[in-house]
Amino acid sequence: MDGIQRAPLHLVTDQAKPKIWAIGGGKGGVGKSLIASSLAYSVARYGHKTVVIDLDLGGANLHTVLGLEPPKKGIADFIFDRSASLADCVQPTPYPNLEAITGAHDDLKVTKITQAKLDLLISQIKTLNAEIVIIDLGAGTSSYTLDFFNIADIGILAGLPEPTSIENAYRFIKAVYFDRLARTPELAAVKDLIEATTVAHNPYGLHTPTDLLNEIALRNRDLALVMKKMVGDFKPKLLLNQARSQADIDVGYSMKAVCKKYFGFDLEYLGYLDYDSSVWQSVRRKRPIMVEFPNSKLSSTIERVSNYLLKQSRITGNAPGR
Amino acid sequence: MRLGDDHQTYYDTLELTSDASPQEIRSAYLRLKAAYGKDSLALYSLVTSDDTETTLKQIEEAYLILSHPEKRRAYDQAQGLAPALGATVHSISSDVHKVDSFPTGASVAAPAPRVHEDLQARAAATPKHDDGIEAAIHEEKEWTGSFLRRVREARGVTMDELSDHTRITKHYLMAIEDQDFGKLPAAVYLRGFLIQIAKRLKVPQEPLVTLFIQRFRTMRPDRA
Repeated sequence: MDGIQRAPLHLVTDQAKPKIWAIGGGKGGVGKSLIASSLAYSVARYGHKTVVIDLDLGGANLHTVLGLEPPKKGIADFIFDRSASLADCVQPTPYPNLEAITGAHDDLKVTKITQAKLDLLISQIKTLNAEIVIIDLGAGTSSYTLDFFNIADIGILAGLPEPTSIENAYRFIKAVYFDRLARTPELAAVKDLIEATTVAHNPYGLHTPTDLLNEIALRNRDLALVMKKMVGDFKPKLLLNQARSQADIDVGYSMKAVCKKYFGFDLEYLGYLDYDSSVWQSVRRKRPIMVEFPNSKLSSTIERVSNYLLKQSRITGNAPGR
Repeated sequence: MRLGDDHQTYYDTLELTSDASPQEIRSAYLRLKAAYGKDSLALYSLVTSDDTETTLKQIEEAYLILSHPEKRRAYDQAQGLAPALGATVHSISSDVHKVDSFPTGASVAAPAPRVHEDLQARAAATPKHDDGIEAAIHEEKEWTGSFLRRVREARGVTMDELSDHTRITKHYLMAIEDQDFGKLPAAVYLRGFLIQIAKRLKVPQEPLVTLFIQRFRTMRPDRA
């Protein structure tokens, strides 16, 4: 016995890797940047080293929400090979423990990103020196958005209680869901069925996840069990923004019930952010909401949610710093 | 219907476990009714109006039974589910088992994995006293009450143990083994009993349930 206690290897590597939280939601203007920046600010205030990344490649504005000067370096430098390492693109913020990789505000062509670059980006995110990495995914269902939602430790769907937002949220979640199944190696034998289900008029007549599962079960019952397990392991979370009434708040519970039945997974309803016009003014002042309105209901909700997500990520809490 | 679940209980429909309190049943019902209501935003672009209607009917049906204490109890017994925890124990008949003999914890709270337990139980089945019993089960065509008795005895399971395990009264268990159809309840309940017995005795549910109930229906058309 040399007297040195070593943690099992998997724990060591696990601790070294940051936990990734991704915020997506399909539609623009639902508050993804605001939620990402507020969560990041809140987590950092609890004393956890945090990097927030703006991956809204077409419409980056995280730096604005955080009140940063247009940064010298950003994600575009990594994508266009001007920086070999993602760590070089990390910029400081005025807030302790919080750093940022801002978006591509000056590179219009940046929405085109190769798979090789994407894989490199993912692997480098996992080596960033941080406990938590929060990614603002931006709007849409492009393949990199789906990738990040699926590799994240926690995927958060942001939406408004409005038909257009809900339509896009479902479109997003459907895309993530089928993408997840299509990439499962054990389901390779039924990939044709999975991909067919995403097409409106497919020869198999498949429309819903239940159709797909039944069709897979006809071919091979074991594969149907694999699909059920994959679906059961998928646990996206929902944060509703700009709730104005009890009916708005209840939309989250209803979406949870509908997702369970339609898709078969648990959509965890994290909560809702009150619509508060005075608070939303703070965006115009280009300051984080939690700095500007620390005692608002919105700030306390963000604090509660970030605390909960830290626990989910098995990161034990410190007392909030200044 | 939950994704791909062939057998869905009323509790599954209301997204509850079988130990749900009346208050939980009521609030689950209201929540789901709101989710599938005419003006529900949460359905938008995802669920068709036909599917919505079917779901609403299932929710109403589940609530109709589960909100009614008598109907719920009968349903629970037929499904082989434990009564609500903390609920008053009503004796349906004098030989209903005491509440402390019910299994507690995971098996009660999570009815879903029963299929797997069943598979495991079946895999683990080993002949004890009657070495030929596995072959006999394999070849059995009739699935009579007396064959069930033979399996039970071969497995070394007493009537009391079977009653404790399945929570079916001995009165009914004996009527099943004796094929005394006059003493058996309606087919919907009998079906639940047979499923429980099949699980405990590690025999395949399918031929047993179908054939036994066929005989029952022939003998007791009034109860079918």
